[in-house]
Amino acid sequence: MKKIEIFIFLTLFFFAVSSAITQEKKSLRDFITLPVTDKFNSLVTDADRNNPAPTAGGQIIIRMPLDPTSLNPITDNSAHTQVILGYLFDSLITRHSETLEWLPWLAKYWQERDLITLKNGNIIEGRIIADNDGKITFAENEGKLVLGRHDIATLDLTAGKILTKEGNEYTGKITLYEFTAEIEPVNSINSRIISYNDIAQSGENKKNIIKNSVYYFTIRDGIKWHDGFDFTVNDIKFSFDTIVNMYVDAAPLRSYYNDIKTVEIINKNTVKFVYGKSYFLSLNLCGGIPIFPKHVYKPEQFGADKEAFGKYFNTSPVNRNPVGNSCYRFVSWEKGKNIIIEKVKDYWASTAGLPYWKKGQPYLDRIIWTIINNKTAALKELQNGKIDMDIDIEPDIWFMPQTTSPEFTAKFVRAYNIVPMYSYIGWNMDTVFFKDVKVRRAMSHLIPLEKIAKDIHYGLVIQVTGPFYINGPIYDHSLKPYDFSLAKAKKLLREAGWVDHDGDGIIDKDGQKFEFEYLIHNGRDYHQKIADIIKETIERAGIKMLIRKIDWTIFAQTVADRKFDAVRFAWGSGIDDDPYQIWHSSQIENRGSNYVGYRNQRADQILEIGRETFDPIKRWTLYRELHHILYDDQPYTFMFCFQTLLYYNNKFRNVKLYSTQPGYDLREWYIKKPDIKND
Amino acid sequence: MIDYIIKRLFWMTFTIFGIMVITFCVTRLAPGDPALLKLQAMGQASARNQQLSQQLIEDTRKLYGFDRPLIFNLKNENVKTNTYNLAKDLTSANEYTKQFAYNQLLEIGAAVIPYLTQLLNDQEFFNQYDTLLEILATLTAFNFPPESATSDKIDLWKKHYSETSQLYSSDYHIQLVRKILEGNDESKLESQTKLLKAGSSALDTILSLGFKNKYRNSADLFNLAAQITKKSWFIVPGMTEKEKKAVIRNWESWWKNEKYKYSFFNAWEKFINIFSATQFGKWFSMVLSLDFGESYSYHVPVTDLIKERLPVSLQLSLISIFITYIIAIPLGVFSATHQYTMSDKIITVILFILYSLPSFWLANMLILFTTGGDFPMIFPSRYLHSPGAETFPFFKWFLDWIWHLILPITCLTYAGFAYVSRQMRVGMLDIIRQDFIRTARAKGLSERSVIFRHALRNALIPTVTLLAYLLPALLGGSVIIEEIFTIEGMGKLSFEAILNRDYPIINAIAFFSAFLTLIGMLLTDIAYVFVDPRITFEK
Repeated sequence: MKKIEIFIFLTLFFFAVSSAITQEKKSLRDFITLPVTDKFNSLVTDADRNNPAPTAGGQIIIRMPLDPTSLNPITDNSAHTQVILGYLFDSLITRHSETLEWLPWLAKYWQERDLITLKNGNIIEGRIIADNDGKITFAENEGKLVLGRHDIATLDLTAGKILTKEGNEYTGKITLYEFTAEIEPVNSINSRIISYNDIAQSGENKKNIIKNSVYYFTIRDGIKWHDGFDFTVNDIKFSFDTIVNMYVDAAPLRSYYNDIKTVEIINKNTVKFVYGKSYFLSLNLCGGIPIFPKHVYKPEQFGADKEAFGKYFNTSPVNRNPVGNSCYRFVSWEKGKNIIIEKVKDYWASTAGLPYWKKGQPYLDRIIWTIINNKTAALKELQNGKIDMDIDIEPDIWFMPQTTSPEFTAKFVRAYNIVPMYSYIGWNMDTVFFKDVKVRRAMSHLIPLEKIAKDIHYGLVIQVTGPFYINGPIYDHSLKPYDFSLAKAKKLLREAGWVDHDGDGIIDKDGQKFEFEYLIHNGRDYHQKIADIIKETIERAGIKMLIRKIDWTIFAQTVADRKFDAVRFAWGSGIDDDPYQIWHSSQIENRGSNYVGYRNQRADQILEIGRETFDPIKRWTLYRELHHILYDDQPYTFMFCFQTLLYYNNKFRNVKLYSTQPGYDLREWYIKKPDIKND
Repeated sequence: MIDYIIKRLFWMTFTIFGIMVITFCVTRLAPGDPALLKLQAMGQASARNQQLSQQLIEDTRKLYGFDRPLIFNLKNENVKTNTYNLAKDLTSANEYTKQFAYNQLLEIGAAVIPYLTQLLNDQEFFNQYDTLLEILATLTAFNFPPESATSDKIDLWKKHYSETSQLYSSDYHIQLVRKILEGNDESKLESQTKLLKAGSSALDTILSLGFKNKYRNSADLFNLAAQITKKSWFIVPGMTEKEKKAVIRNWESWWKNEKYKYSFFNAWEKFINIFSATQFGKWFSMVLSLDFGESYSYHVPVTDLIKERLPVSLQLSLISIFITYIIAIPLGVFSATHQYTMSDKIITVILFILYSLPSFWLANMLILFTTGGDFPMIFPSRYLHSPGAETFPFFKWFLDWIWHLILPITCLTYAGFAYVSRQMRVGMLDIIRQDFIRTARAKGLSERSVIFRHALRNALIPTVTLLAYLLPALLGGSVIIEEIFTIEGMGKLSFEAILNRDYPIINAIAFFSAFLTLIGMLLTDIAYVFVDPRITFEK
């Protein structure tokens, strides 16, 4: 019932023009499974949960399996470094882990605008208010404003007026979310009417209109870097210039930021990003751009010599001594031993009145990452009290008597969390075997997923039916995994024409035996074990499977070159990512990510429209349809999503495990008063 | 002896060259390259725009110098061919290649003008005329009237070019440079302005005459080059000789790599380029200059990394080798002299059991049972020093160090006991059966004297052979033990470098290992002469 309500509301929302109808949007919270606080900590009672009185103080020591190579925000790719840097550096906007809203952070508010290129060569920016009958009603030099609701002094929904605490007044169509408010400009005497005839062409049948391609961010005053210097918009421009400098060793990151055409400083507090196309992830990227201090790297000393600056940036000693601007500051890094960061006094967020930042946060005074390569040694250190938390535990240690004994569970909490990553078997649809959908469905009925989950993965994985995050907004739980059924598989194969015509035990069709190659790499031994199980079960249906194992260093290339019949691989994804690269038919050539060669007109349509759909609920509804299409077509046999295992000392409270990476936020954790000790 | 040593050193150089060639071939033949692996590590199987990523792998490859051919460079690159190739890239379907070529042409500057102009006559570039004209206009600040047709623009450009062609002639450049070197201030200023206008087309003349006149008044020339290329290597008044030389060196090494974009090479340079403008050339020059560059993953000079890690591995290797020999040699002697007794049999069984235990298993077992948790904490489980050990007084620091060393050293030495002591035993048994020992006994010498003064010295000879591998072993370190005990040593460094295809580190370690092995062999051979009087330097 509720979904229909939303749909009606949305329809009205879209077509209401001048009457400033506003409605409280359903919170995006309802679309994802929310984390429970202290879910695995048996010492925490419900009374505790409802009445948390966070106490400040104490520290946490976390094990890190490898020493980072550097602490540079853009040249070091490893997940561990990114986690550490996340506590040292702030970004313009931040995503709320439960509502998925984008929240003001270093930026107080931001504006999204559209670009129209006219036939006379002029490019105008503003906001499209209405688009019908070949005419566009355009609010020039205005845009959709997004600000925090805590900044609102007075709100008049019917008249569509907002007065902020700073004294700015905004008029328009107001939409309220849990923490933010959006104001869309409405038709006024200043609006321009632009006829389609005046707009330049962009390709055939398309006009040169780029929606949501210009972003203005206005940053707060009073933010300082840890060495006392002011944070300014110059730091943002500097960071962008450094990322796109081809001599800086950050090619993977650069591939994301090359979509931004220009970054301009408008005034002391405002920076403008211009994109060349309309993409729903644009806000994520420009709002989340890594920002580092210009005054520390001093690019002026190199003048226009990009190469020299690039080399300097890659090797600068600052990379072992980062200067950030977040609530923790870097203290020391003893190579091979530990990295220590400490809470900052006078953090800007404590006095900004943000409802999503509690007073007193962060509670822990210090975070220490200590490097222990060996997992057995790590377990010992945990038991000795030398470390407080260990993550990415391997299943064999997870089930060891040492970690399941009452002594262990009396002191440590065993927790697990699902990460947005899934494994699959990809069927190359350009081979004679897998081009028929019946064959692919038969294969899905032949993969003994439950057996594999139990025997190989120790029951620590969950079956998935599609490429979207299982606890996310898009996944449709009504679709059940294909059941393991030899009968169903044989029936489908027969219908597809695969029968054992010559009596040799292997089914065939048109003279071709069903003998295919299954590609894996040697990075992990369980791939071989899974392959062996699959081979054995498939043989019962009369199919011969050859296992081909190659070195992991060339595996990705081989798959990108599509030199396989079937491959076992995995994708990591966010909870709100763009599936275009994997499923669109244009991504098959030129080593694109559509490895299996999936071509489906409706899917292509969904992917193209979805990229430019900015309303999250509309986009997710579209992608849910894609989930259904992929479920029917089975270009992959979707296997599992994985659980990440961790333990932590039960003295920590307010521990929530999220679906966004890295899965936990130490800034919320605190230690119950009697257990605090600082050493 | 000196002759012998010199002859050995002479042949060593060829061996090292051969080893470097083989190392180079193996690293290049191994699948995966650093640029690709870095991208994979980042992406971690995420789907981001693979096609664009492919071009960005090329970016990283260029950064590492992998766009050069492997062994022989027969491409004969010069400004004309390079400009042609870049212009061809402008026709590419790949957006990124196009953009990159466009930016490169603008970056190179005026040097490409004559050759781009030539391409305006080439039918092959028909579709690119507009882009080429755009580049030419930007480089010379020449304005075409708006809305003019392409053919008109070409005519206008050709006219303009023929009027200004003197600006791009090298004879003219030589004249101007001469004026700067010798002339008075007025003509100097005029020449400088004209050369700035000529831009990078004059770079070849400016820099080559600048290098020739290094010791004269060439500061102006280098500053001119800096202005043209927007590099920051200026010679300012007040610089010391050393600083000036550093600036000139920067120009020399930069020009070596970039010359092909701006000018032509003479016959001799072309010949040298066949060998030097290659990946192998770069690799080998690193060895010759002993400057192995910077690590791809750490972005720190390789020599710094080695300096950091070597003492750590050295501690472990030296101590473990010392202990192995101190214990194994007497054990071997004892076994030999007490052959067939019960104690010999027991020792043999124990040693073989120890030898068959894999070191990583034993290390993990030791950690499990002796470092705390459910079991008593007898030893620490990681590092070589406790945190904060720098502040300890010497004696406490020393004890702390020994305490940390016990587990790793145990794991490194026990396997050696069996091996070395068996060697000793066999050697001793061999010697004891010899006639001269019987003679010594017959002479009435004490058993002790017979064994230790006569037999042992001879039995040590095969053991001395093992010392040849002592030197390189010091450098190597044990990857497994370092990994298990989280010790930052050379073993881990080389292992990770191989996994990440970090060529500078691999190069440096391969070279040093080869060098030390050969030196070790030389020293062993010399030691033989002193240990065994039967061996002399003469054939």
